[in-house]
Amino acid sequence: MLLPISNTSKSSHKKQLFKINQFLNNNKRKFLGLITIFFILFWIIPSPSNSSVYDSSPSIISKLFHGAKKSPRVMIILAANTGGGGVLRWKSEQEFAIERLSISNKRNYCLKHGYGLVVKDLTTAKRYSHEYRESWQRVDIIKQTMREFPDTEWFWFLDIETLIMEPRMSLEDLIFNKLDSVAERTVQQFNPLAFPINIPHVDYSEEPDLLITQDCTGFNLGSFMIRNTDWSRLLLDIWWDPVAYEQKHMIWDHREQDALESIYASQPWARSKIAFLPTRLINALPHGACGEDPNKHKYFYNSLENDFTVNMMGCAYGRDCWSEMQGFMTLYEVKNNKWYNKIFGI
Amino acid sequence: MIPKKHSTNKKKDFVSLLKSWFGMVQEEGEALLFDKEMSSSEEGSNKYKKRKNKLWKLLGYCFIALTIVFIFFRYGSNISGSFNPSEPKYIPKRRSFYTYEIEQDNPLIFPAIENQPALKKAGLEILFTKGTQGSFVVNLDQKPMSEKQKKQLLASTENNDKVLYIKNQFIDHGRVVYSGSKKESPETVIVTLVDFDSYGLDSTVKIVQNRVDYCQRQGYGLYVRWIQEFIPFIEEQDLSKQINQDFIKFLIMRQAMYAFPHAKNFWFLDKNALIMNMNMNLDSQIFSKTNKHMIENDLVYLKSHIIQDAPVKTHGNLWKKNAKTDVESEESTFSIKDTQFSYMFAKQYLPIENIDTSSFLMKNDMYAHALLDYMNDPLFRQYSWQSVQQALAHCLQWHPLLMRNLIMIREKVIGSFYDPNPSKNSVNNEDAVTDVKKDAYYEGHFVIKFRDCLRLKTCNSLLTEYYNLIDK
Repeated sequence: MLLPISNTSKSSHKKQLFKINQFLNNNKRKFLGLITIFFILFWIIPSPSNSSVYDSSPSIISKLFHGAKKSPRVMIILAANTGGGGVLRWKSEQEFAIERLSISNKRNYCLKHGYGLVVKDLTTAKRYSHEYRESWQRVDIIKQTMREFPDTEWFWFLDIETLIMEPRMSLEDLIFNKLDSVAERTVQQFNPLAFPINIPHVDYSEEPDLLITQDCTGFNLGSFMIRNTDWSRLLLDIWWDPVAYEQKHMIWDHREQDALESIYASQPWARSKIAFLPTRLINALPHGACGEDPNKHKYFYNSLENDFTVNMMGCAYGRDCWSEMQGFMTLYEVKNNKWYNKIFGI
Repeated sequence: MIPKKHSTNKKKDFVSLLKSWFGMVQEEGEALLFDKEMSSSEEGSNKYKKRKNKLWKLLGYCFIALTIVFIFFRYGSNISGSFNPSEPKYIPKRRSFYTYEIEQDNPLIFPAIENQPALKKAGLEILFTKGTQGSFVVNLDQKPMSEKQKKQLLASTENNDKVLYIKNQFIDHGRVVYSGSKKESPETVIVTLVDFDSYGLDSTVKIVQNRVDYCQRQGYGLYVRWIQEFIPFIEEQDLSKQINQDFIKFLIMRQAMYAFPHAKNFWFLDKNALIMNMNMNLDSQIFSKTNKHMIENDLVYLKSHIIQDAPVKTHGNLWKKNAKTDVESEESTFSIKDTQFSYMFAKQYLPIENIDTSSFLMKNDMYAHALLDYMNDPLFRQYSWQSVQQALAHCLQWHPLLMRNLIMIREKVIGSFYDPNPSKNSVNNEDAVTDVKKDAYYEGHFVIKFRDCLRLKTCNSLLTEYYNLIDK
């Protein structure tokens, strides 16, 4: 920057520039033609992300142009439009705002780490009206998403009232690369439902395929991870089973959660591949979600210990979702403000 | 205006501070003139170059130091984490119902049949204990009999000790597992339940002897247990009901898979069945068949109801995706190994179209485990089923993934039924036989089943009659 540029080098540079300019001027039409052809090619050839998954072998040309664009290894499934999405009652402005915030939070996170994100609608269908199956959509949603993205390994199911508080942490670093040390294979450490710990025929030799958390009422399905395997598909298939549900649907108030708990309690093939993550890791609850409890340090959000995800579970029942969301959003901004932003006050 | 001025002042101060830090310039005035002055004069430019080099060196050192610090923070934390041995997670050992096991290196596992009269005399009241709700329970954590205890009990002349010995032997039989390695382990295991209550000693001996002979000849494993052993593990403990007896079949299958962890195929064969042809085996009957046409038409049922008027049918295609079914040529060979199956049930036509649960095959894999565990779920079992066939048909029809792994085979492949009035000219001319009776037993068939013999009270006589006919 400070060295004086000699006159000779300057002039040669100018000459070169002039030559290139001349060349471009002389071949204007050829260049324009080439650019047009490229433009049309890119336009016509469908990108693999748009094409349906069922068409398993994309054409060679599209492979050539779009490269080996694989589906992401991890995908977040976000269940939006709870309660019919304004069909059964007016959807309030705050609900819209919560959805917007929640979706952009996950979107930023996914963009940062190269994960996929699907937002699925919790539609109200006739299929769910029999025997109070209103909250069972998530089983169908996961099945559907697994069909849509057969190459994705992990699916992280999230309810809409969740926020990722530490977006710089990747899921690989947090969980997937150290499954053995993070996940508990049994309920011995924390057993709110008093399951029998050791039932016959359970085989813990393989890695877990379903990672869930527990809170004061048992399993919490607001945030859980499921691997795309035969086992998972079979579990989703058997989960829906009407035999147990027909006998118990008046007793089980947590519906699909109770059904899964029942499967865990008595079916060793399922128990073999279910593992428990520390609740605060992917499913920290705000104070007020569970009553006073000796185990509350296990599931109440603690900003000092940088809990990864917070789930405002049950905020629609007697609590204020919007104010909770705003509170956590402020905290999120404070926590994730970059140091240079702080210095320059931007 | 004032704050702006202030900030520029501050910036100047900052620059001068930096420059003095690197030992370039001491005075502010010099700093401002520095660049021009240096570039113009020869002497100055040398000086300038030297100072510049110094600056670059310093910057380089700083950069290296920063990199090291950064690397340490990035990976050092992980290293320190890996040094701390994380506390070992509690992973329970795989186990069966009982806490303790007895290992046996003989692949033929069967109970002491000579105890049958004594067991019948003792009855369930003595063999088990009554729980608080009036149902029979058994202490799962009790230790098996030691050799010393055995000798002591055998030597004693007291009647009570004899009963205790028989009781312990009865309970301990459930703890037996095969200890052979993967190489020694038999590939196929025959599983049978015997009953000390409604069968005579003669019949039980014949049933077990028939299977022992067969397994020894074919190199199969054998897993026989008393049906009464399973009474504490079911809710409705009344064995006079057929459905309660049938649910135990699924319990014993899971136990057999535990007892023979390396075996591949498990063949459940009911007690009122005899293996008649000692030279046939599952390989020759099913697994080694290679003619695709023959398999699809004469061995399995494709697109067929599993029970009468069932809304869902079995699959229309047997073959796995990677078995190149689209290449239809005479030479291409297919075996059952190219199919996707975890269990094979036979389809019976008499008395009604139904699944046959007296003779079936299962692989030791995830789908079979899931089906068994699902059928063994207490909540599932206590539903008001009419029959176990209905329960099984429910599992298969409601769960496409379970249905996908089913192969429905012809009854006579692994168990022809006993026909009291056989058609006469059937041996020579099989086409003449009516469709429903195609699966009836004729001489030379593999297995005979005496369906409903308990109800008709013909079991003992039929077993004796056909046991003598077996060609050895």
